[in-house]
Amino acid sequence: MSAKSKLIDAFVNALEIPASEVNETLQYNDHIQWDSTAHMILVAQLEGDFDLMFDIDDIIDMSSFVKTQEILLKYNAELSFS
Amino acid sequence: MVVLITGANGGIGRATCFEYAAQGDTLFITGRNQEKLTHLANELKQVYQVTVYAIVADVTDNIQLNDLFKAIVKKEKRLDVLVHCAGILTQSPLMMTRIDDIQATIATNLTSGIALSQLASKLMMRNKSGVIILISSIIASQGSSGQSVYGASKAGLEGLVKSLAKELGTAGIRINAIAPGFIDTALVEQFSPDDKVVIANKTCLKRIGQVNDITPVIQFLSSSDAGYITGQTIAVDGGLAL
Repeated sequence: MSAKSKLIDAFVNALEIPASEVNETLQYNDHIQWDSTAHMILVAQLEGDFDLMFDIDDIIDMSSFVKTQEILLKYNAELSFS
Repeated sequence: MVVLITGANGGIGRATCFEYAAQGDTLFITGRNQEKLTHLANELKQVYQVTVYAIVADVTDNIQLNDLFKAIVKKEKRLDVLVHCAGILTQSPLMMTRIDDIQATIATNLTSGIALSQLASKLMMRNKSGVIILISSIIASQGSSGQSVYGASKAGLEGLVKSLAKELGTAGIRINAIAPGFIDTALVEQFSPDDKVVIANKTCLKRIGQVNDITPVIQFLSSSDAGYITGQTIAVDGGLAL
């Protein structure tokens, strides 16, 4: 599974939204499903799926689908989301 | 279950390790003294043939706490129960308490509980289940002359439990505290035998508590029998607070 597919799946599972809504416009607190509770679940899901542990600053900065990709690349530069 | 016990070298911590090992759980045990921790791990493995990871960690050191959780993820990839026993008891009138000692007490007893709850809940959320148990003290609700800073730190834990229960409940994580009364551990070794008799007489049961009075309650709170209990502080004090 590609990193992009894995990332989309994580958002689908954590936010309980269809894959079609996981796109470049998706933002924290903008989409009704991406609230603070979903954010906690998303972080846990991403840590498990990508086998890493986020710093708290990165969890706070994880404000959009695009930003999430940037943060994941900080932890693993070999990931590709294209 | 995978269980993390902090302060494993202490009286309640050590007894808690034996309680969980007896039911065959996988343990991560932490403490500051490597030699004592290794000895405890070997003892647990020998008696109960369970998997025990002994990891030296100072609960006031965020880097060490992060490393501890990285090890848990690497070795077992999950955490079911956190029992945070690490703590210190400061006994002096506030007027005679140095700011360094105040900060050390708050860091060890309260901030560490917040930091550990943060790390543990993040890992527990992967499975949408988990139990956090913090060790408070009857001093948090009753107060005690000469223990104002200690009492404040433990009262902070009880506040943490209430808010986190609300915050983590939807993620399937329960959090509770136990408030022991006067328990016969090294933490209270500065009390004279006469002092202990006086305190024993203040309890309804007319005796000082033992660690084995505490550990079954810890285990109960982490069991499915307590599946509808969260946000509570359970006093285990022989009626001392009445």
